[in-house]
Amino acid sequence: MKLNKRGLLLVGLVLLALIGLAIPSYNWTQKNVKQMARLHNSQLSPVIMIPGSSASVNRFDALIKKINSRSQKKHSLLKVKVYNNGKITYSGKIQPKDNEPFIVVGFENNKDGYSNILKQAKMFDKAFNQLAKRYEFNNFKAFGHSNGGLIYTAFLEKYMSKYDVRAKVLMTVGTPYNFSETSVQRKTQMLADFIKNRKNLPKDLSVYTVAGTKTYDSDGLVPEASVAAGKYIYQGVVKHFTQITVTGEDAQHSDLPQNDQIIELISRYVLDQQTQKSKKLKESN
Amino acid sequence: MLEQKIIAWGLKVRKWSFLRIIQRTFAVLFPFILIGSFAQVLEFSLLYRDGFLANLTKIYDWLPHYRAFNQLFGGIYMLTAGIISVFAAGLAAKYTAQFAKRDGQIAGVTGMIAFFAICYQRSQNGDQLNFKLELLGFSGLILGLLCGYFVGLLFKWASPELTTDKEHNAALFERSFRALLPITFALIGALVINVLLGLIYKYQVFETINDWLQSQALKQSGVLPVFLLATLTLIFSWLGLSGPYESNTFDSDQSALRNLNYALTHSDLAKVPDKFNANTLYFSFGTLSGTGALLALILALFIVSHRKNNRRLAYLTVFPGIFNANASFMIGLPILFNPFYLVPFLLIPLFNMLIGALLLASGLILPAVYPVLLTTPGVLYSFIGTNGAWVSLLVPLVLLICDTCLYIPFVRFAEKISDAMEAEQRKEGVAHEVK
Repeated sequence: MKLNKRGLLLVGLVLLALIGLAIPSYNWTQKNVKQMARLHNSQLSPVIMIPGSSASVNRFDALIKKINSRSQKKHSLLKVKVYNNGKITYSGKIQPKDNEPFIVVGFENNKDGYSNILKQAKMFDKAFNQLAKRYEFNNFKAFGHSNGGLIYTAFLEKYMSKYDVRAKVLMTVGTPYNFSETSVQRKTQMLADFIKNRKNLPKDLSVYTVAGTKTYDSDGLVPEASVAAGKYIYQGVVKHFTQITVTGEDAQHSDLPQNDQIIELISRYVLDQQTQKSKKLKESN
Repeated sequence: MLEQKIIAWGLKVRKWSFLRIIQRTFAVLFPFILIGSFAQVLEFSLLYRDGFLANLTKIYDWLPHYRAFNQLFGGIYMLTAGIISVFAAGLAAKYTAQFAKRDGQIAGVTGMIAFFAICYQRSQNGDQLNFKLELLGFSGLILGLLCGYFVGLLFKWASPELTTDKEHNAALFERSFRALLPITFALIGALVINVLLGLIYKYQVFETINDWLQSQALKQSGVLPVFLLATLTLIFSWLGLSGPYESNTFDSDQSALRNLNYALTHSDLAKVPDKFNANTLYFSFGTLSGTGALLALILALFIVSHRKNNRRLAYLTVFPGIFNANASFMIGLPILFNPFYLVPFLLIPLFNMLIGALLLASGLILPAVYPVLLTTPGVLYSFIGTNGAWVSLLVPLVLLICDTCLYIPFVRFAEKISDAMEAEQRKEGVAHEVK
């Protein structure tokens, strides 16, 4: 077989050119991957909300509408419904450029009572597992109204540790940590269990428990003392623990998600603050 | 003897009239496609924000008006390779008619008009001439060739044989009168096809098939589906069409995104969820020497080709070939519709993927999960996709050399067939050659 010498030389040149291109390619990909990793780690940080008993995934529509109407940033809304047979359905959509969407997780079984709370926490774990896989966020913010806060507490204590995802903030609104008991002297089984397992809570979590008051000691449904019992669970274990009481208009238990003060609190404590630095990062994209 | 048999078979294939017409057509199209290929590399690699050369040179930072340059080369590409099927239809009609000793010139013009008629789209405002652009370009090539071939056949059936090829006025008019019948048939036929095509488009037959293939390509991962889709993609490319892996983009490939997310969170490529997907197998290994391993074929031509035209072809197409812009080479040799080259065109990439799959499974090489720039040379895909793992540069380079060696016997056979063909033609004399 005759080999063309000039041809072999050319093959050598092509191979050399390819190797030559590899060097600037190396620099490019190193830089690109570094930048991507940085963005990736600060990108998607959803607010995952759980409504209270007998409420549906539409429970927070008014709240989210109000938040979106007040800020420049428009948060998208994804609704997730978990059925008793384990089926999970999605409605709504996370917009590709929205890095702080709202995700509302509701359950077919939305009944009251400790045994149901535990079931719902287990179902939430399933939904959360899917969400984390689907959207690959590495941190999120938790928001629970009424019994939604109980589901979150059970979830954080029982299931959270197995995830590579960080819970940054938990805000519960009108959550009856001691159900309808007005005194912590009479601990319900649930509160006793929550206190027993409190060491499993994430250490770098900031917790805000918000109580509404219609009268001096209740929001019309949940006693203020039951909300305040949350301190026996969270205080001293998590990074920050803050109790807030709101009064006035819309402070009745089921009005709380539309309460203007609470929306203010969500914007300030739950949502990411648009700092100068993150703005700059966005512009450079 | 096997060698003799293959050469005899190759000779037979090359004598098929349709293939001979295609070869002549391609020979005329070649310079336009070549210029188009260079323009394409400049447009999409050097002057495009996500292009390979653009990002390596950061040209967008220092070249003033780089967008204008992009448009200039985009225009050159559009007006050469972008409307190549129209010329293919005309030339195929011309050569088919000439083979049958009919009027080639009028047949050629009729072929172009017939193809325009097939691609014609009624416009809404009525003051513009509209065509289905995707059919005018490379992906309409097979349609254009068939259209031209049938127009040529119409001239064969519906017009008498030429007795003279003198071109003085009276004789020309004589020929024009005789061409009226085939022109009419061609136009009516083309418009009927246009209506049928319109129906196919209306009911989105192509879109449905294409969407399904695309969605499979974006959904399926795992060794077997990737091999099947890769095979399909290669057969499609051999026909000049785009297959399931052609327009693959990172942003919509779920499997690639899963891998990327994992890699960015854990920065450990060895344990990504989808070790075998389009990126880690097909783009990293299947196309490491270009679609159908064509860069390896170009290199093989450098080494063993003794035909001057083939060597010249290799010199001219190696630059676009490095950036996987292979249209000119595929038309120049030709590879398109050439049954002889289908075998290595399919098998060599699959061989590369097999080696890649074995290396990936054994953990000797990492899966490519990071995004790679547009028109990145295939050899560098895996290297860049692993964020610069040197093994992933070495292995593809070795495989490129292997591919070149694998192509060498095919080049030798192909050239023996060409030699035999020429010898035969010399024997028969030039009597059969048409001017």
